[in-house]
Amino acid sequence: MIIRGRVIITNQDFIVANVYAPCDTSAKQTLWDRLHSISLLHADINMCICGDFNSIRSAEERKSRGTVLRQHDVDIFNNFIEDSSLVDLPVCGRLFTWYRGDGHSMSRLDRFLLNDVWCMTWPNCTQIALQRGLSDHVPLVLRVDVVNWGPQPLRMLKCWADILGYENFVREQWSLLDVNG
Amino acid sequence: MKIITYNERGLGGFEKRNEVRRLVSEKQPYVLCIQETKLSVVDALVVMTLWGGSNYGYSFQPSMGASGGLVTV
Repeated sequence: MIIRGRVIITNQDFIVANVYAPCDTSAKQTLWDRLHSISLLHADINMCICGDFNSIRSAEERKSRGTVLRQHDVDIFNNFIEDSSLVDLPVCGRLFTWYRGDGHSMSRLDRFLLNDVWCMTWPNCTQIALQRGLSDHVPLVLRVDVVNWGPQPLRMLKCWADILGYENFVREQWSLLDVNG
Repeated sequence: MKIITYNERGLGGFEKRNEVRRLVSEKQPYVLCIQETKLSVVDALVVMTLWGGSNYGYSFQPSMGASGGLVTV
């Protein structure tokens, strides 16, 4: 499901695709193909594809007892991500996003995929996996914050006072300041 | 700005909706994407219990039988 929106404050357009991928391999391929063409179509807009992809990118993204890794599934998922030049951010908080009740099987099925434009607009995105709740999946948060280091410190160098006209300049600027509140 | 994605495995129950509500009020996301709502219809009342306020837009994809279903707020 695709929604299109705009960050009101900054007037930036973006697209968020909410994905729930099927388990069946050929149905997955169809979905990857569709998402690939959608990402090509909107290559100039900030685009984020997120959700439950029901796929993993490598053997490290799964832990289980005995089940065979479906390499073809992994390959088509990786091909889709690479062909669409999507950025797969590392996940913070935990390695896996889905846990089976037996306590032995876990996978990283959920993720955020971002296109180039998105990463240029918001270069400081982080993906955080939260605590487990009622579902067997965990919620994922994408923080799209501009890094905020707090108020900028004011620095005054003593040598400035030696510059001719310094005092007048400060006086002038000070009187020009119009502060409310 | 934050975006949340969550496969909630059903949004029918009170507890599940409450969980999402808590998540929204704690994280204050800009966009919320939920998979597997298992609901054939997501109406404004449901979304309001998830989102809290009334300042939102949403769209949903109905479930097929008992599985699937998406909602984006």
